[in-house]
Amino acid sequence: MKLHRRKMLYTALFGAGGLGLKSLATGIPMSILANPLRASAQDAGFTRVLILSSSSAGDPLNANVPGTYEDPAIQHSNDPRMAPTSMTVGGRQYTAAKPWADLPSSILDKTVFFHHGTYTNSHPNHPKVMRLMGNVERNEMMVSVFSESLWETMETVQREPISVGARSGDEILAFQGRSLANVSPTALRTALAQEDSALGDLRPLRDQSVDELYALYQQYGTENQRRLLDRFVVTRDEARSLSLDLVERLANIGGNGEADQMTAASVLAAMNVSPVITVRIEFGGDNHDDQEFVRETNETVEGVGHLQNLVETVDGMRSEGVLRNDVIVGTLNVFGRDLARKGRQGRDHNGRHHVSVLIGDGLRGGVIGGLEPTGNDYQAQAIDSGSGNASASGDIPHEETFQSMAKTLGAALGVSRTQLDETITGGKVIENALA
Amino acid sequence: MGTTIRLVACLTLVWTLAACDGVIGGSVQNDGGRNDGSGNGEDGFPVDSTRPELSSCETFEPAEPFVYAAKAKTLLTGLGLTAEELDAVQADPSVLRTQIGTWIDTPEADQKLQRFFQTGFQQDGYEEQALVDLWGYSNFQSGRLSDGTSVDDTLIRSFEESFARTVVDIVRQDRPFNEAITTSTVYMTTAQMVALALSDDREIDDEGRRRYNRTDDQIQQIAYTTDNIPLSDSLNPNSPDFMRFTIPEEGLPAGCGGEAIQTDNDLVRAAFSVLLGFYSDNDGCMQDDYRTAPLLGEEAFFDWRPVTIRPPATGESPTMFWDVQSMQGSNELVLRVPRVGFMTTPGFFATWPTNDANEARVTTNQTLIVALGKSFDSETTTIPAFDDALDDSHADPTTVCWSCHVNLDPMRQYFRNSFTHYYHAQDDDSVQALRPSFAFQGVSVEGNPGDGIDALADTLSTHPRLAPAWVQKACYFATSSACPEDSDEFQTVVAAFEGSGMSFRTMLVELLASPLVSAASCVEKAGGDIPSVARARHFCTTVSNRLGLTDACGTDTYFNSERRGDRGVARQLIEVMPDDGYSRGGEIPVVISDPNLFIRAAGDAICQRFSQMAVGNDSLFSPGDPESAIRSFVVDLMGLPEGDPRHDGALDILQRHYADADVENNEVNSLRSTFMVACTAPTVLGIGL
Repeated sequence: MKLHRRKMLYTALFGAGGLGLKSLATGIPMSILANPLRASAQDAGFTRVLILSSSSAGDPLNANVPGTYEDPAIQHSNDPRMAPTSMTVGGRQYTAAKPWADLPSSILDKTVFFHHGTYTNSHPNHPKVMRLMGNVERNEMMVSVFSESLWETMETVQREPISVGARSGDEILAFQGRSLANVSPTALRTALAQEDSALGDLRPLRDQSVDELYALYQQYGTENQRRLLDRFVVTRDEARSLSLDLVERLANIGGNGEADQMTAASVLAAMNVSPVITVRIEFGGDNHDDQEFVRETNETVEGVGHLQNLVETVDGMRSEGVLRNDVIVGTLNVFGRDLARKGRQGRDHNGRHHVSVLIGDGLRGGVIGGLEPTGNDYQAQAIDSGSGNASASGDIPHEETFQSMAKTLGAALGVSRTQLDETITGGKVIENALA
Repeated sequence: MGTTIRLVACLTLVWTLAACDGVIGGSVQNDGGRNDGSGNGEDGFPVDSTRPELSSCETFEPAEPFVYAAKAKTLLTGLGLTAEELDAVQADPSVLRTQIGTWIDTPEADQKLQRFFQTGFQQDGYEEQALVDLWGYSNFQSGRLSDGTSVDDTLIRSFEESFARTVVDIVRQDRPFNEAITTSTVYMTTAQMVALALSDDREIDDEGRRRYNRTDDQIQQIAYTTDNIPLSDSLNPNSPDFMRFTIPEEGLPAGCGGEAIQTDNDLVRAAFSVLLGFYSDNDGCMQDDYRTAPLLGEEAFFDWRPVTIRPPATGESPTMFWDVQSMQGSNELVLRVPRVGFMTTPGFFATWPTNDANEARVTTNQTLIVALGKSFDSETTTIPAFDDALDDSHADPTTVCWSCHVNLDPMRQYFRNSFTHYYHAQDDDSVQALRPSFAFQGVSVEGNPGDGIDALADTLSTHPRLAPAWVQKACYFATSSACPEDSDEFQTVVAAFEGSGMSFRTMLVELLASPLVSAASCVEKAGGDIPSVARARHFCTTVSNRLGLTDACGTDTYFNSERRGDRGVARQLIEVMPDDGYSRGGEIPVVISDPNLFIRAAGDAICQRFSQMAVGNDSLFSPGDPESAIRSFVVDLMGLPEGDPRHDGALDILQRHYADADVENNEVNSLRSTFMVACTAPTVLGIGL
């Protein structure tokens, strides 16, 4: 009797997040795996997937968003495509570069432009920025805290975040001390786009034989060896539990560019693989010598376009019922860039000012924080936590603006306030940023 | 103004100051990220809650000889143990050292070590354009090899393995490993020699101004003719046929009268392009660029040999790129641009380009990371005796920048005195007037004005960090994690390395036989045996070598024709598997040891492709003899010889699988499915199991 490949998926074993099989594989009781302390996202009452554009390039995204046009000393591109354009966010009038201002109101209504520092000016510190510069409990990455907190409630295939856009070692994600392999869009397409074949029909039988082999190796293995063997079991079963109904959407992936990453991320979100997926969209890159901001212009136009497409794609998939969770799309670079110091000869690093753009249901459109002069450039100003406005006397000092962004994002994703306060030192949730 | 202004000012040059912490202000708490060698992940980082604490010896379980001996052999050769080897090491574990020595001497070990050195010396992290940029061109114009493979792709990629081959030779001859820092003898092909000779004449100064030193004046035009002109005449300035090249008839339209002329544009580049198989005229006769086989000959891209690069003697001219005949088979190249050690190769320079803002800081820092395993760290500042070369922007000791720049700026001057921002010869006296100095990790050397890369190489080659740094790199290769440097076992390996006159071979034997890798006994903080997922290069080598399938993943070959069919698909799939690498400023390699669902899915898919390559009527394993095939799957592919306690059980599992599969399927697919079970076994998809 021939079995159809789909019938072989072990989804039945993975109802309730696969706890039964994971417990079997790891030897850890289900009660521990389902520890309510770890599943503390539940008390938030909702959960959302995060697709985060993350880069160690230090893009000049912070130079063209609302909040950077009030001071005439701040330098912007003269290209008409980046013309200063009036826009309304959160009921207030701002000016921003045209690509941002031209976003449809349906997106702007749920877009937060969050001004904060990242406190470093060095590219290799990107992994530290992902750890909020040492302000996360046990120095975990922010995305890993979110992922660990959300995965059980969301019943995702894996609890680790997944990266599809890492370009170098300093953009690799880590989870509980383990470096996580990047999965490029083409690798994703290739790995999952398997043909139906006679060999495919024999897969259940093979899995059974491989399980026997694992048991044999476990019999003679040390504890460390058994642990890796467990990981082989868990990941094999995770692979089997993937819904392949969406695989055909990967067929159009032609490379590892930004558009391909958007496709891969949206499909991974729909497959419910992980609560957090990272991509890499460029908004001008490391543009020290970018005369007249040519690169910044081109990539901002394209980058905002990618963000818009991604938001509209996931919203569409959500409407179709393909996505089971809402998605928040965000950006986080290692640092921002100088706003004025070099004129229009390019921009150098600025660890004191960065803007995270956060888009999605659960967020109320607006500008959080702002900037102030420091030395011969600018930094993110302190924030009044009640209003979200920049204020010299704000109760969130410059040094905690980064953590505030992280906590606000976490709250929007559905991570409990208690857990946010326990795991992230400093900063406050900006309630005005939440819908 | 004050500190804030200085702080902002110092940001102007830090974009590739990959070394300095670059942390601003006092807001940072517990800024971790260094590896303490505990084997538990990075210092201060959380550990997977499903893992027990590993740092204690109280719960330590020693690994068995059938695991650790197999691990050593797989790491070195990709091969599994033979029954005889297993018997010997089970009877007397001390024979492992001898066995490792034997395995190091195999061609398979050359292959594994070459990839290790390629990454360890950071020769393969470049994008193609970055390498071409070293010549100041937009691209290498080139033709095709006989199977259609692009010549430029071949040349560009070949620079990845040039220096790694050099170090393999050092290991093979058991010469001091310090030579990797100081050597001027590097493995090259004739095509690389021609390209380097051209680069040597191509001057690009700090301002980016480009010119040819001597070649430009000697080429007034280039002619392409269907006449049969020997290449030696085409390239001989004393021949009337100098710069007249034979072009195949198909490349020259009939209306050209048997000859096309190039007189405009960059004639030197045009001549170089012809050697690579690319023809383009400017008199409108040839309508399109013509690409064909390289005039250098296909073998010129694969005739690897050691070549000693030396500066011209007084009155001597550097080798001209058209001296092809003298370069073919030669082991010497005369160049103006100094080429010393790993840190001056095109592969390294292309991986770490610099510019007028960075001023070779990234080059310097990555050089330290490769040689000494350490990056600049503001907390371990050794104050140099003088600071002539310290950038004024960072000269204030009260700023966050100073602590890095005070060391880094004087040290980068060694590079600046030898090279421009484009890694061509530095001829600017004002630059060379600055004194470099070296102050790092307890070693201080005061340089003299003009001291260049040779002086830096000498200092690095005798630095006390060289030995421990490379023991640590080998640890990562073997265990996917750091070894505790303060352990007696680590120090024993370092002592053996140094005591043997820096014999890498001796060090490797000591390390792989050490409990640091074998986990035969407990080493505090070492984490016991640390098995890992087989990363891409290990997995491919394991399958290739155990089955005798040449380049099973299609990742080693240069030829497009060898990347088709199942190999082509395997080549795509293997990209899902992680591979080792270094990031900018990273002291430790990026080593993924943990599988994920995509790696597992790719493993299944790759093994399916391998099954189609290996099992069939005219293939390695015939469906007509399943018994022999299955036995080979267990012994050869899975690496479980008789005597391994898992051998019989594995054989039984595979035999039953074949029998069960045969009920529902034909014998070919049944055997292929059995192959896939073996191929996805832990001793193939993993290391140290």
